[in-house]
Amino acid sequence: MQNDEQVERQGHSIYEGFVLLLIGIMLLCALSVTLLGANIYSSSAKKADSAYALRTTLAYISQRVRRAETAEAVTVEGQACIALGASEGGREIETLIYARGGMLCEKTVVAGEKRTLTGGQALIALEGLNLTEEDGLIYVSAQSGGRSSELIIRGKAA
Amino acid sequence: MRASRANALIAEIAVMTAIIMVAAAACCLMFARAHTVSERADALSFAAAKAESAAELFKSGADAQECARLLGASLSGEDELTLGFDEGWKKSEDAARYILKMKFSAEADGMRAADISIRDAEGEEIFALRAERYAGAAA
Repeated sequence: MQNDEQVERQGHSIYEGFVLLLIGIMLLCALSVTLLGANIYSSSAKKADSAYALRTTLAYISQRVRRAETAEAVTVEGQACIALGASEGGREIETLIYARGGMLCEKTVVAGEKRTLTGGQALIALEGLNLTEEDGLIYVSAQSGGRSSELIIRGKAA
Repeated sequence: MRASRANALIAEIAVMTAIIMVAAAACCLMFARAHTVSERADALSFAAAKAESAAELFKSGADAQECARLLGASLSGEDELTLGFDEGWKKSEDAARYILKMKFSAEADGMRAADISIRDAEGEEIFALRAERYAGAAA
């Protein structure tokens, strides 16, 4: 009699253990899929954001350089900038493109005035922008999201 | 009666678990696909910038040797250069994940052309660009 009870109790605990195991597997699957999805989404979104910032910055700079009458890499207040020259309504104007405070900025001034970087218009979030000019070529390197992308553009001498 | 109800419950939970596992496997496949698509989009973005730079050098008047020097590429033959990049799109000759090839050719009417293509290590083309410039009657 006691043996039967023992066997029944043992059967119950095996049954409960099995149910718990199945529920555990279910939870584990759901949790791992959620975590995997969150990880992949977060890494894809981060990469897409940085690629967007880099691509937009380089495309914007290259288009602005091509449209400008003159384009050269200059240093203003210790900061590398691209100075774009153009004439508008009979006046010579100069547009400076530079990175400051984590943003790509642009500032248009009357050519010949002292160049400063304060009061520029922020365009897009960007960690850094390096500019060098060599043999008439402007080497642009933009940094965003811990990655960098480079572009070579023909400069236009004044 | 009690045993049959217990068996039915176990069967129900087992079926639920199986459905969730199948759904999880399908989700994993979709995540893997999304990751691949994202990587390709990323590679396309960087490849376009590299090809544009090479085209800009060519348009500035540089010949094959000059382009190879400025890009840090190696010349394979007189009219073709090769440049390798690693996964982070940094120049790499040993473990190149992406390969830029630039082929120069003389066209009619003094035009010169450069066919720029970027492929991955498996040989699949990511981006291609053709640049042309007038090089004078002697070209």
